[in-house]
Amino acid sequence: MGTSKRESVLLKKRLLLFFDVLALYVSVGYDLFYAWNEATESSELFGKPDVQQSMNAILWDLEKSFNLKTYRFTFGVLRQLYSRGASLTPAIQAFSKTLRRDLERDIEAHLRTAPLRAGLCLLFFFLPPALAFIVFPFLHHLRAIIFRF
Amino acid sequence: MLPGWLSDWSVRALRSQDWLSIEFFRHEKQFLKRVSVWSTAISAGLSLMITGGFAGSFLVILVLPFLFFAVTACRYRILKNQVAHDFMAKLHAIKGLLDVGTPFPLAVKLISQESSSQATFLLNRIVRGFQSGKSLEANFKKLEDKSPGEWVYRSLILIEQASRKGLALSPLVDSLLQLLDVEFQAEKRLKRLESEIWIQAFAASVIPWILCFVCWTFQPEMMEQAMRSLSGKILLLFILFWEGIGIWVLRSVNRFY
Repeated sequence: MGTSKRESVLLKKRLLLFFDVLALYVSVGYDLFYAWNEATESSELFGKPDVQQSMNAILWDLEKSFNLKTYRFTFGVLRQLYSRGASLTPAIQAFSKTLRRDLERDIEAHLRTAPLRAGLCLLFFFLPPALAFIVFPFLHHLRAIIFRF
Repeated sequence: MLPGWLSDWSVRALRSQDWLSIEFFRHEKQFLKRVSVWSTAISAGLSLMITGGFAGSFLVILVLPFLFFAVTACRYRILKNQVAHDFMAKLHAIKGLLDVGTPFPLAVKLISQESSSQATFLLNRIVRGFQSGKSLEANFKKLEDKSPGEWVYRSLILIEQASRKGLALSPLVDSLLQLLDVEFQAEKRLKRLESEIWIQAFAASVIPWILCFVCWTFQPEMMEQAMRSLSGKILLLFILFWEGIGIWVLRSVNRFY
């Protein structure tokens, strides 16, 4: 499913919060499933997982259908690491760092392009009314002069 | 009574602007009283000047709410920034107390006893609820949509979760402070850009009307003749409509989240 730029920024922000909380629990030794449950309480991004659904299934679903295509692989990597019993803390912290940098790049891009877009918008929407107020009262006379030639 | 969809929309819009804050209105009674007196006086003065009599009372009704809300929103924005700074300072102090082994609720209580500000009020409220037997989580949940900014709420949730699980709070608060500092700086840059663009937009939208006023002063007959015609009236309406669209487009250009 395609997402607009603003939606993708919001999703990134929510995912970042989710990973921050997840990293907090996993780093002190909690299991990923328990940590996931706790993290969903403070985030609107994912609903509370079904008790019967395994962590692998949750991550598999997200890998296939998460709205941000570029971040689907993170769930795949998490699934692989989880199924092999590897340490998850560095991976989650790295995802969190990547997301934060990505968001920072988005902010920088917005700060770079917004003044230009705003300037164009001001020219397009506010200059014509000013010109209209100057020219309109004289239009009648201008037309008369033009028709004389 | 507003229709349901309109009321829902208004509440959503106000929440997204984050200036519907109970704490703000509770703490700023004096300021709001002053603003309402001044805005009434200024709008009455304006209407008297423009219409030359009290017949322009309708104008007061038009100008008053705009003036009131503009000043209130400005004040709230300034206060939000102050709370954010204050909150960061309090978190630094709490971290210091945690480092020497003070429990989190006691650290919050000690810090909140030392000063009286909006951030302290926020922290005090949490401690009061905690002492009355409610969980910290329940108290933090109450602050949703009322706390001064999403990132403050977010940091409170993280601290609460760690406190509830008995995790080490000092390193967490330390890393949170670093994260919040980065976010706060980014938010400040975005806000600065936003206000610069709005100031430009305000100047640009006022210029046509100033030009109209100048033309009217120097060529009153010609302007009157032009504006009385049907095409003049259509042009006026079109300019209002065009500037309205411009403001709407600028709003979306300006917004990051």
